[in-house]
Amino acid sequence: MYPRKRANWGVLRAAIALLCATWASICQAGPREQAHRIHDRLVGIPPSATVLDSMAAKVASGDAIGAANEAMQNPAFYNTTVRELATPWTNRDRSVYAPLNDSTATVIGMVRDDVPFDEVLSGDIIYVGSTAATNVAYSQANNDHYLALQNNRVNLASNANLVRQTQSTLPGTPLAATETAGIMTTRGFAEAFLIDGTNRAAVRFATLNLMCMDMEDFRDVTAWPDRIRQDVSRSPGGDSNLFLNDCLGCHAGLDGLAGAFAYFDFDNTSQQLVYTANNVQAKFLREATTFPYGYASTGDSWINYWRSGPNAFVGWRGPGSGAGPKSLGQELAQTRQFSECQVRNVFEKVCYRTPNGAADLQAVQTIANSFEANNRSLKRVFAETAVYCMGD
Amino acid sequence: MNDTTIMTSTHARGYRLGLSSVLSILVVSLALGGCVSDDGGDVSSSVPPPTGSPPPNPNPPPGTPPPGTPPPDPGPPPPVDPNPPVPPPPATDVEAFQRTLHPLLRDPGNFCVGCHGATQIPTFAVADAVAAYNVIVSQQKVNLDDPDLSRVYLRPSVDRHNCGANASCDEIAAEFLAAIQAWIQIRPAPTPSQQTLMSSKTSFAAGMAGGAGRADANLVAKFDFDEGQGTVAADTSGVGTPIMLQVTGMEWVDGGLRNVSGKAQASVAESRKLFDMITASGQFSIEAWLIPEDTVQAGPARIVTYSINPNTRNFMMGQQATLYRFRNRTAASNANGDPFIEAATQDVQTQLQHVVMTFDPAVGRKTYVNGQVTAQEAAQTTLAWTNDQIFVLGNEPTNDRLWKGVFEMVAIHDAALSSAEVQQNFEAGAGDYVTLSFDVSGILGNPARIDMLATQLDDKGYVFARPTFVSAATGIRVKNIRVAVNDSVPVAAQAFRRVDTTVLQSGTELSPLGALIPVAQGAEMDQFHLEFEVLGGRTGLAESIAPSSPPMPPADVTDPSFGIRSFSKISDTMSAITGIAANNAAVSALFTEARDSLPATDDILGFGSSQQLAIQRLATAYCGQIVANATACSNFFGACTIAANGKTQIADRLYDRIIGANLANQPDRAAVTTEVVDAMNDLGCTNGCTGATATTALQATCAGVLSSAAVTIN
Repeated sequence: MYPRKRANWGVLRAAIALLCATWASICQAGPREQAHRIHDRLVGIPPSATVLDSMAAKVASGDAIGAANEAMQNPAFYNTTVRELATPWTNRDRSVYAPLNDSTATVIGMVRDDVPFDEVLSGDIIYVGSTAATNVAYSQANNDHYLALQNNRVNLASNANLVRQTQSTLPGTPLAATETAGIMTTRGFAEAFLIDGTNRAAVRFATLNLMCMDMEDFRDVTAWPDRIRQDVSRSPGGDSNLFLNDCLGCHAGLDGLAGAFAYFDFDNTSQQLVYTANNVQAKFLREATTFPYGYASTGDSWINYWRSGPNAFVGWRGPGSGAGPKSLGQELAQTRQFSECQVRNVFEKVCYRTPNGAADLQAVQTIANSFEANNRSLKRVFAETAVYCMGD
Repeated sequence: MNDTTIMTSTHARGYRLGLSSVLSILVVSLALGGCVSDDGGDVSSSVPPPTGSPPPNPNPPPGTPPPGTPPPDPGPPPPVDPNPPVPPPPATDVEAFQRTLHPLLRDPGNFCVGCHGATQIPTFAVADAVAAYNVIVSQQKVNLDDPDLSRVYLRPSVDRHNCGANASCDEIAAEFLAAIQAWIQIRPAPTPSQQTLMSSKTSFAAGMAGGAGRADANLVAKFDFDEGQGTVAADTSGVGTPIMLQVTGMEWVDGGLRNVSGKAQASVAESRKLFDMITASGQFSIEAWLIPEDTVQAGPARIVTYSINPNTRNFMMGQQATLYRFRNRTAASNANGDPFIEAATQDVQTQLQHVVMTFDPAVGRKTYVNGQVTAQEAAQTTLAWTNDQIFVLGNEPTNDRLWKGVFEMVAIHDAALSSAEVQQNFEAGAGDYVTLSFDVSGILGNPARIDMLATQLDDKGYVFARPTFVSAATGIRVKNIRVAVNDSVPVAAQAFRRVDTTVLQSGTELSPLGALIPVAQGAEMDQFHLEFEVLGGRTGLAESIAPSSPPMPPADVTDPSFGIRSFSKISDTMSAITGIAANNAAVSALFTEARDSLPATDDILGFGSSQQLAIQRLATAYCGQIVANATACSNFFGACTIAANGKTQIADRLYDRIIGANLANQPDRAAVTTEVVDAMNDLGCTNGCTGATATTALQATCAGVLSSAAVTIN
């Protein structure tokens, strides 16, 4: 639905078309070639001869999903493919090169264990390395534990190495179970998006990465403005038209949602996530004199002003309002847009392109339906998408 | 628009015409040329051809009537209706929009439809007129009270937003403006009855001057800096002889006065008002709304001073880097007002701040920043002022203590403002708030009104803040308040929509917030009223909800169905194929070095030649580790030497291990074998080779196949 901007690569497209014409076999696929492609796309490496034979037989018998499931047993699916999917979600540059951290590991574990993926924004869940996997203990104050897992190339497909735990019971955590919200309350997320600033970045990147919608996509100047904080100038540069036509469109909804993070911060000195129950962080009240009649946060309540109006198409099915990031995560992750976004994210990883055209868009809908009907299994999305793109 | 205008217009926009437009003009020109030729016989007979024009054709084509022959009778002209049918007025506002502005928005020559007619928000140029209308109206892209303030007009006329050169933008803007004006002319009359719960109307002229928000009972002087131009900043307090500050080295900004290199200075005589009134009361306050330019200026830099030089004064509000400094000449101080007081921690910010310094002989000095005490003393003393000092803003009279920043308001009081009064003035803001009263007695049946603080924030917007219910009636429910301007309710920034409360006593503040309401015709002309969803026992209408507007589907552009392996996958793949662990020291070192040069994603459209070089280097490293170990080398290639007749066998092994056997979508085995054998021959193994020559050839051919598209593209 939101194709990334690209330069005009017409020349390269033409070259690729020529390649297809002269190397016609690359564009043809029987069961063996389809199995090979499924494996390549899901795992990132070619299959062994044994696995290829087995997968090809499944494809030939009409069980392409079974073939995909067999491919996903390869550890590289988790160590590389899923990690590459989740790594850009951990940093503001959306770099795929960022190191493994608790946020990425949690996504990997959730896919591996088929945890309903909407919990990625609301669950009391985290994955840590076992003592067998590394002797570097998990710490609230650094990422050394996960760096050790990465540097030692620990097999994350093994539940003996990567273990599911609850955030609220980790040593040193400031969070109770009701205050956790999946990857949004991990140390890695806090270091990237709750550090400094105003915590609006937490909402912006959560929607950007997991709903495939940036603030510009939500832009709605008709949304109710009463949660826009005092630090937003109503007359930027002396022109209130700018506020009415531009700033308002994002801040009306964004500030309403970002209230969920009013008790959160990331301490640059201790390098830890900070949570101050019932005490609004100073960053929420900063620059109050910019517009004294703006909203002054008094708690961590949030409200979604994008549920009706232009953004109704998002398909909101969550609580609509609440307090803290857990309920906010439910609000975001229970949307239809969230489901479709997971398919789009996987589609780009597995099909190597942004879905476009009627067939692709229909496939996104179909696979999103399946995602919702199958306990929001992201692993199944991988399998179905790989089958859709296995060629014919 | 007359013909001349049309011609000028066409000329000015000529470069914007697309091919179809050019062809259209060509057709029209040819047709017009034909018309001139057809009925130009008489003309040509009476008007000589222009110099340089070709002579009449002496050999006209067959069938052409001879010169002077009257044209054939076209028959009786069709009857001319003296009263051509006039289209009925539009029944709806949408229809009026559809007849006027919408076609222009859809015209590709006006550049809107290319983006805003499809996916780019706001989608006001989509083909569906109702959808476009909803966007145009709900997002305030037009101002039907003052078309000159319409966004769709200002974007080309002022912002020059995607409209070509200036002439083109001007023409598009003029057309849009004319269309909006035409829309206003033909649109059906508004139906205010749709909003049945309306307060009475009011305006700024009816507002209570000074507002209800400020504590100004003891003003001596006040400067609002609303002049906007000139060399004088006037005292607006209305108390005694006004102090007229002479402005030098400062520039007027929206709502204030920025000191760049000068000062605003009063005469000694006019400054005397301060001495007279304040020494009479024995106490005073200096109050300012200001924006410091930085947090490093020092001296201290003089913000407000009543002095004659850097060492002699009555009082001073100054800035010493990150701290506000307060000097006051008393029986306990020196002539400079020292010892000063200042905060223990930073209280200067480079943003709009409300700073108040008070002196009370019973308790001493206090400094407030944004309503909070930041510095204070406990020292009973009395003023010891002299009457020869000069009141100056932004510097000393001697010009050697420059303060740089913006003044938005300065006031001097002959009383020490209490904490509550300081807070009150802080909450009242920097602007000139007035209190507007909206009478709702007609709705409630009892005397009642809603008061709001209001000010003009800038030339585009008003702020309406803190609605307060005033009535003896109690138990009144108030829900969803909207501020209307000239009978129209702006859709954006209505901050009181969520108000839903039952008032139990008069004076109840309904909301602490402020709403930004766009200016329509200006503060002198605009009339305001309030609308409610519920007031008392009566129910009105809530505003309509804008329709859902999902983005348009992306263009159906076929992308390649295959891609390039990303950096991790390339390394993983090479490791899997060669059997060399990815964390092998040599391989790992090269991967770390070359990682960012490898493809970051699987998107083949982002693939570049430099990435292929990195892939080649990595493949060479992996293959180098194979040949470095005799056992691994033999296992991989069959032998670590190359026999003259064994090259095809080696090529076959490379094909099976690296490219994969029995895959129809991989390159032809024979072709690959030929290339591999040729490579070994080129590397000195035509007749077979051993030792370093062999391992070099094996490593090279291995790397060549391993880094090929057969491996990296899938």
